[in-house]
Amino acid sequence: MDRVPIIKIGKYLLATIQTDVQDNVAVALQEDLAARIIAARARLVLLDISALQIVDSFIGRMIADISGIAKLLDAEVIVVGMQPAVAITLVELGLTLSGVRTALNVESALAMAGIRDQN
Amino acid sequence: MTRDAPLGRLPIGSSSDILTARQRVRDAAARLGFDLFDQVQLATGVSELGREIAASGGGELEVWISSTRPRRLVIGARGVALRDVSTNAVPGVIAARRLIGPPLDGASGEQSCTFSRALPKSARLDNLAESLSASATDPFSELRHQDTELLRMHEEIRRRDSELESVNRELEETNRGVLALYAELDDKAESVRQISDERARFLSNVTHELRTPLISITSLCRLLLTQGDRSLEDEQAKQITYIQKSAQDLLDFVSDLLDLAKVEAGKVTVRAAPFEAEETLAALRGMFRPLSADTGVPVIFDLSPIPTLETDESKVSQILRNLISNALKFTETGEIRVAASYEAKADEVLFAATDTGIGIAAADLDRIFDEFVQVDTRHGRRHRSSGLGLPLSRKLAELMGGSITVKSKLGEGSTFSLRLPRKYAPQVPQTAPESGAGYVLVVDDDQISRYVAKEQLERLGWRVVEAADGEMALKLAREGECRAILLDLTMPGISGFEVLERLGEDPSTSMIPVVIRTSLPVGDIDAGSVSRAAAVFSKSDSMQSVVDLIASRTASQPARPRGTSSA
Repeated sequence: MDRVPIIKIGKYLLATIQTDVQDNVAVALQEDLAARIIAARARLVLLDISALQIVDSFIGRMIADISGIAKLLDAEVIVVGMQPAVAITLVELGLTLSGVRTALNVESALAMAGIRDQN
Repeated sequence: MTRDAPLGRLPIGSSSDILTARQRVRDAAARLGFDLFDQVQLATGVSELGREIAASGGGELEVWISSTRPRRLVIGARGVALRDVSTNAVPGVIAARRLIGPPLDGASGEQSCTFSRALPKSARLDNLAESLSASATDPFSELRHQDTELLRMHEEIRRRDSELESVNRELEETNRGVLALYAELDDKAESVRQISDERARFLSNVTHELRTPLISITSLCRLLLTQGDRSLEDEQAKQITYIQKSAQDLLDFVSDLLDLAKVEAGKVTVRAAPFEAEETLAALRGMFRPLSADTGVPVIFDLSPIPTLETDESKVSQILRNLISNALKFTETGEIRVAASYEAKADEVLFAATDTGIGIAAADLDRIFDEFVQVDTRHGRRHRSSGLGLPLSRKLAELMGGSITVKSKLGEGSTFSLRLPRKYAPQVPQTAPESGAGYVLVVDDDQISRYVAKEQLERLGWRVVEAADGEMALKLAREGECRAILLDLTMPGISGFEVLERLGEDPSTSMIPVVIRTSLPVGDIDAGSVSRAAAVFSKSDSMQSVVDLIASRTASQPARPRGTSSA
């Protein structure tokens, strides 16, 4: 089974979904991230979905769930690089991903996190 | 109505089918000229629809271009549960309607529900053949991929096969080589045997030819020395004495050589007759007295009573002569003791010649019985001798069923011991019973086992009586002729264990040695339950070891009291 790579950069974790994924890969990502957050004591997870073109209700819920799980583990998820078509489709589907922070790219996500860290 | 442009069918069963479906639809949408946004919407809509179908147990998506104008892209869903459910209430259906589009008017009843979207104005219908057909060819390419995989594995297996074959060939060649070597070895062994035979024959002939003139020389010398009337001058007499002595030495050597050759050629026979060891030793004492007086080393004879021997006196004498003269040769000071004793238990006599001479190094002990070997010593060089005495003595001793052993310490002296059976037994296996000495009782319910044991025991000289069960065995054992019992443990009726116990309880049978021979694993037998047995053998053990044990037991047991019964 394919897995979504999770890279540790300093205190951050960066998970990049490279392609359209099967459901079980998405579930595995959820579990892997939770484990890595604890192992790395990470406070911030950047979930890069810029290569992802199809986000249906299942994947959308997955992203929301990852955000919720991370929050319980004292970490924050920033979803990075969502494609405009994906955003529109999600709204069409009625999935607004409330409570999930988003950034246009990794750079601005890190800037957001930097601000948070200084606080 | 006609469907002028079917694009394909997408079976939906698992989540991977959903992934495939949305990717195919997205590709098809791209080819049809939908923009990126529409592609994502259509694909996501298909994904939602697919989930609904998968959740309700599987089904199929069908994609086609409507024949009515304006042309529309139609996606029809066929799922088990979708057929009966009011389409408006199903979330996936709602999402699909929102993302793909409204149902196609006049769609056939084959589909549970349909969704359609107008094709973009720039739609290029000439590409259609390739659009979803890519999906149709996919299983094919998958198959092709698997085929190549199979071919690769096949190739691999064939490679290993040929590897194995070559290893096999190599092994066969090695095997042939080994067999050839064996044959060569056989040939060599055969030629060595022939050479050995020829050597023995040659030695025998040559020494015979040598002896005749030597005897003439010594006789002539004696004649010259004893011709009283024409006396020789002192110097001449001395010279002739030396000639005589040298000739005598040479004659002795040649005689030894001849004897050895004869023994090796198997031409020497043992002539057994009753004689008294004391007389033999007395003769030896007389023979060595002058010699020991010359050297100043006394030869002392320690004799204990020895019963009459029945073996070849001349050979015993020859061996002892050899041992004593050897002892004298290698002893400058001290004494030589010759002892003789009798061991009643083994019915053997033991002669020992102990000197206080130069001794033999431990490393040389094995070699001194080899022909023409002389351990290099001060003495050895001064006292020249053939080196044939010990090997000849040993061969003669073996011929009479005895042995010669040596114990020695360098510088302190040596003891050569000759051990002989009191009574020479010609070519008879030692384990054979004396005639009328009773029989071995073989107890086994298995006829074949009994037969095998009987055959082997009879070949080794025993009389055998068979018993097929414990009751019979006990009855026969009480009759009094039985010398040993070979007992099986697992038998119907009275088991071997019980037979063993009852034999032990009865004084008329308790003396009979019992050897257990069982098919049970020997290690599994409770040692306590068979402690009365002389030994426990597995049926896979050789019968020889069983027979040896019976022989040793029957020999060491006093004769079984006759006439005593349990009454």
